[in-house]
Amino acid sequence: MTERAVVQQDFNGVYFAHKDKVWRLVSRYAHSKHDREDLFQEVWLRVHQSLAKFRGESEVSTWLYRLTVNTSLSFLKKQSRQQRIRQVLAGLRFIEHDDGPRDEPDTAVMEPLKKLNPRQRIILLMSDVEEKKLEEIGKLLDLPVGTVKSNLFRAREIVRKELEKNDRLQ
Amino acid sequence: MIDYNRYIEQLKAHEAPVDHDLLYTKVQARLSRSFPVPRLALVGALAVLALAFGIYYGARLQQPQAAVTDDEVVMSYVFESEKNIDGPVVSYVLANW
Repeated sequence: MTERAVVQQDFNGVYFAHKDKVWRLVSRYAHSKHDREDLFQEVWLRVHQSLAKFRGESEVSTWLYRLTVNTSLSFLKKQSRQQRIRQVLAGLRFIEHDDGPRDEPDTAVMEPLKKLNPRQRIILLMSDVEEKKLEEIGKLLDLPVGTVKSNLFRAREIVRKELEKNDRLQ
Repeated sequence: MIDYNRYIEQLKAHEAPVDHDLLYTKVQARLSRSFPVPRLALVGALAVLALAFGIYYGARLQQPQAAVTDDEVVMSYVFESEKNIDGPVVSYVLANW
């Protein structure tokens, strides 16, 4: 069997064993259907690229979690940059004003998270939804615990304000 | 007001609907598109090689050309600029004028 065939076989094994977990994570990190699917594909593309280098020093699920989180963070940062550029260009009237992809109703629960920057969003989800310890988050994101803590504090504050605001509007 | 903890519970329960068969097809399509990279790298390397040969032979054509006549007189410097024309050919021409 060729190396490529082995990688493909391993890939399929990992994919079918973990696709649901990865989907659950990316559906929290990305808002629109388009973004979720794009991010999901991006994660598996990276898995395929990195699989040959995976030495089995950690559990596949741990390795995959780390890879998903890091891919999501890069994805969200890239999106945030593009959004800023779109706003600047719209301000200069080079393009029509566009808020980006429209969300479908099932992501209404994600609305308050939109006010967070990519790092705050990932940290809040990892800490409060995925129930990871601060030290673990710091290790995964390569950040000092103090930075994780301050981002989490700020993120919770923003979400609480958003929940209050939404309540007033209803 | 929905409190923070209840909101987090909603987030935990949230999972967007998914068609895994369709997604798997999309992932495979992305993967097959990523395979041409080594092939593209090979084409790129060949193009660089061809360019290097081109530059090398092009540079050689720019060199002063030499030829040998029946009298074994070297005809050269045809691409030399006027101020550089000085050497055996010019000496020969001047001597046999």
